[in-house]
Amino acid sequence: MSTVENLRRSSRLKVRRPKRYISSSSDENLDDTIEVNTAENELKDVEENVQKPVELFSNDDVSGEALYKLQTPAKKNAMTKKAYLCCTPNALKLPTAKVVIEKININNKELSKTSQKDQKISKVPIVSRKYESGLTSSESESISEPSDYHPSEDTEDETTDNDDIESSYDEKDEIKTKNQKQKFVSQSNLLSTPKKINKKNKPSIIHKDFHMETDEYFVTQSEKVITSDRTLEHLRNSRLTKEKLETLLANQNHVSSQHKKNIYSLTKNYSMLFPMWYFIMEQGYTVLLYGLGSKRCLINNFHKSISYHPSLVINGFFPSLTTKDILDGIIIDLLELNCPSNATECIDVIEKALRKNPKDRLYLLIHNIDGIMLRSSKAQDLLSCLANIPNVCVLASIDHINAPLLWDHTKHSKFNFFWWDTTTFLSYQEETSYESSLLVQQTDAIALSSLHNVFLSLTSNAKSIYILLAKNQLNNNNNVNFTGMAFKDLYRAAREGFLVSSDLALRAQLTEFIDHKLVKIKRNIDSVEHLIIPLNNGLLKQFLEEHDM
Amino acid sequence: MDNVSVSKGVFAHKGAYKIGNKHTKFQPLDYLNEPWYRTYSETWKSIENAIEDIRTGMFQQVLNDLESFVSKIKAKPIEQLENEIQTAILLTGVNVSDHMIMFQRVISKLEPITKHIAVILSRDSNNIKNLVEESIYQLISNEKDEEDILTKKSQCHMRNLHLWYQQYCDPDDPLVILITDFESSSPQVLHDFILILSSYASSMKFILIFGVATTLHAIHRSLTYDVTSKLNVQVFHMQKQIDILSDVLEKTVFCINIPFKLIGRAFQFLTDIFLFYDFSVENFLHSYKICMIQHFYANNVNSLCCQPQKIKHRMSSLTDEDLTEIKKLPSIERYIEQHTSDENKDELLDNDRFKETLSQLLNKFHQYMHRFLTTVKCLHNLMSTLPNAPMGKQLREYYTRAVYTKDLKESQEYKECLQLLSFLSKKEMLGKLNSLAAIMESSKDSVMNKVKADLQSHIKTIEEAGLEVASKPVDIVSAGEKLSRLQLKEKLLKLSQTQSRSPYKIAQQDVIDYLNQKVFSLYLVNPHYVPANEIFCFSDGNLAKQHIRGSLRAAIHSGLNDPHVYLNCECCKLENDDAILSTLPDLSIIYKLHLESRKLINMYDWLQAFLIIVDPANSARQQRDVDPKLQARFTQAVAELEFLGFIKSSRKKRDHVKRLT
Repeated sequence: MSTVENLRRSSRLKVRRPKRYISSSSDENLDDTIEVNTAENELKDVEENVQKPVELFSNDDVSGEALYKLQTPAKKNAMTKKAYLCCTPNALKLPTAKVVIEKININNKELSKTSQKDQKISKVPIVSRKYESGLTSSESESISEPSDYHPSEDTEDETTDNDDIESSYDEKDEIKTKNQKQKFVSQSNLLSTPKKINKKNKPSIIHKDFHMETDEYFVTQSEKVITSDRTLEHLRNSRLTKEKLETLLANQNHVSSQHKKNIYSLTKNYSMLFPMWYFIMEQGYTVLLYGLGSKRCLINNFHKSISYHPSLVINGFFPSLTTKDILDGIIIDLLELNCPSNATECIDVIEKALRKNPKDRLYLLIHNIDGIMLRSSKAQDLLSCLANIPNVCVLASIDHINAPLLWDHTKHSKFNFFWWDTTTFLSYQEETSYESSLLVQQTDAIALSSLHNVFLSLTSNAKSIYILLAKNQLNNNNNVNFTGMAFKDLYRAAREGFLVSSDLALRAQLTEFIDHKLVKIKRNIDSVEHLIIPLNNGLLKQFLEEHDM
Repeated sequence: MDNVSVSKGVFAHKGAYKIGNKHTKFQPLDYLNEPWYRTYSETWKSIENAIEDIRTGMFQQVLNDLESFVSKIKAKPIEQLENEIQTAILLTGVNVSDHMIMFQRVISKLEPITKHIAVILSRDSNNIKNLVEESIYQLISNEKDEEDILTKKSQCHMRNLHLWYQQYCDPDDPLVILITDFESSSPQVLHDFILILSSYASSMKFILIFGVATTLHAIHRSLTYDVTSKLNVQVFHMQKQIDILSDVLEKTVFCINIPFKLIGRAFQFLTDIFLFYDFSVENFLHSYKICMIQHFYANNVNSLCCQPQKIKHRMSSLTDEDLTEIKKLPSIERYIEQHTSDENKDELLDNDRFKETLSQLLNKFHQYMHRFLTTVKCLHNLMSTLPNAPMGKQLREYYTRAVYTKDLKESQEYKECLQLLSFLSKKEMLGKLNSLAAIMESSKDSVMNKVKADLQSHIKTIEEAGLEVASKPVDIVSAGEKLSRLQLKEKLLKLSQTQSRSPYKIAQQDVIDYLNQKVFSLYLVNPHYVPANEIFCFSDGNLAKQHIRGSLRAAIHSGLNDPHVYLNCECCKLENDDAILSTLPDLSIIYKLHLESRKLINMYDWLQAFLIIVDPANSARQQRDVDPKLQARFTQAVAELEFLGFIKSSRKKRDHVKRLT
């Protein structure tokens, strides 16, 4: 039993008083209640003997709430208000924060009086804490007292569960971390003094961890959201095209010179680590770079420093990357062998070739190993197999916050990561350039130009039909329920214009459109066919302006 | 060399040589001759040797059992096997990453018995065709090294195997197929595979070996009865991982032959990873190596981390620069301060004198470490069997306490243990003391020997001490005496104290006091307080954590939330976490604003809020004419935030994005 207890990993096991039994014990056998009690005792024993990890989670870690935190009750224009709040001088800000706390306190009491089991009970203090942390006066602590949990039976468990995590929110801890900052600085000096590399003006970075509360995620996700109905159409100037965006951002002069200097020195510091990375890879590790900012430059610089060795640069963020490309790159371009079709055989070939020449090195530099096409477990499996070959050295970078979920134990141990925080603050220009990005950055140009190209190759009758369709769609611009032009309407219109002579001829024309995805056919409930052009109206307008005859 | 293109994601750079070209000249690596590297590789080699020993011991039992299992089958004629497939199930434990090494051992152990062994990795066992081909291919090609007869995988089917078996094989030789990872192979495939094999079982001897990571239950759950009935199963157990860990620790961290020590948070962190993440010895070693790299890399000072007899030699290769750095080590600085008055400070800091002092210190540290470890072992021995074991049962727990807490003696658990010790019976006490003496015996240190001698004399007194309370002239309170209430109380108290103490109790208390004051408090000093500990010990848990586990989200969060941490510039100093300054990087502003919203974010509002911060001059009214430049900045920042995985575009509502966190 003893080792089993030590082994017990779950620290989540909690003794809950089984209410059910207590309430209904009157009509139950006495034996039953005794049984329950013994079971309870056993559970208690278990809990006592659970060994808890000490180092994995510590109090001064950043709480997950900072990232996944519950927000202030949804208000209108929360962001705008926040923005205003941050612009106005501090004097204005303090009172507002206090008001919020007081309000909440009242709420809280009322809630606990009615002893609702509502989630809000646990939510409210967090909100107030969030504001508290903004207060620097010692007063805030006295305020914080009443806003603490009112331990009703239901929430008690939760409090103890969350305690160590939430405590990092308390003011006291805030102060403590500040003190620790001092301590850490001296400690890091201590450790870095002997090391010549990272001595020079490397910022003393406090590394905090954080852990998230899964429950909260679901709470926020399950809520109803109220957001304003304004759309980007409100803006006078149209959305930017990709080219325009690039030219606007080309010289990056919105970044202050101070920042530029610091960013530069950050990058320079990291490049001083190259020999160390080199050494680490020689020792059989995979160097994994993480942290905010594009690490492309860094990896490319590193690439220059190892240009003596054969190397393969993989852009993980490239949207149509395949594992086959990687294997081909190694086998055909670098090893100059024939590439078998099967992936496992490919790995065998590579492994054989490299094991035969233990002195040779093959460098794989992977920008964004968490890239969209490398996220499958198959791709990661393949990469981990490659990384496992002793003389394949891998340097990779990750950016996505959930990237570490890609690897299970086996892959982890095959990769053998040596993590390295390289926060560069450079913008992810290349990485995001492939994305069919968010609503702002409409990559209309491609859609429009493909429309052009197809359109130009059509016969004049087909062109006219398409324009009819487009005009109809634009005329119904404001109609919310518009589902497309009915087929028979189009037929009538086309006949009137002497464009087609029969139903069949029109269908033949439409197939062409459908094949090129210029038009979609939808059937509504009455099985009437509706034709719609899958483009937004602005684009359609632009198109019509150019082609309307 | 920009390596970006719209049509290609992979760029090959040939470098200066071709792989496989034997005549390539390699530049010798520049660190090979550095003192730190030599020390590092030396230390790592000694650790590897120790691990090798452990592994041999660890697998010994299983390997021997398997060997006898296979050889027994080999001895049996095929008719006696009754068409069953002989199966061995190895319960390997959840530390999947360690298994490869174990299976290699198994193969090398079985090779003398039968040459026909196939190892099936989980990637081969996802369809029946692959599985059959791969296993037959391996069985056949193991026979001969030159690849002549059957090299094409497509020809590897059961009929050919049968022919080949009749033609080339000794009919006694069993064909061993090792399926390393039972859980990750598809049950359907295994099902078919076993049925196929069993139809040939009358003419060929098969042995299946399954590696099962969880429990036997897994087999019964995934294979149906008609399959399991074809198998003749024998189960083999591996050693418990927890025992393996204590073995590993004993041979590495607690071993005096390896001067490099993990202490404090780093040690705790590594054991935590083992116990709570993966149970993997290999990973533990990898992490250990990472700590070593951190400790040694480019750090000639730490080349002094070596055996005592090598100190002189190592010292000679240090430069003056290194010496100044050593002088700056906090513990040594403290030592120098304590041991010098102002006049002779310079004298002591003189390099030659200092070298002498340093070598003294280093030797002292070795001595200290030796005593420390011996004492920890004693402590473990003494206290691990106490009821409830307040300080834990494993040696590592004691070590952790000793190196983690500031002062072990002050801790509650320690005091409790001492108290519990005093309740032990004579027999138990003697047994414990004797084993303590035995531990001391093994040490060659003079101080330890003295402690041992003291202990033995204590043992003697305890042995002689009777359990009975010595009958003292009883001082009866005569009724005639007139005592005040207070006097009576005093007297009674005195009586009660003297009476309860038997000679054994006294002797026991003596020995406990002795151990507490003369042994544990002297030798169980946290290494952190011993001069020159920086040279031998690695304790930086943060550094270890950062490189072993990485804290990706934390790094991104603190980069976004408080760029000042990284950028170190005046303009971004935040008063508190919630403040948003206009000087912050765009991405950071956007991020902080997005924290304000809930599930969905309206892009228009977001943009407006962004403008208010960045461009406060125009912020009075809603801006419908946005400076394209600002809009571009916003666009880029939003795209970056999406790239980082904080948001994604939402179909629910027009011009909205969804928060993912």
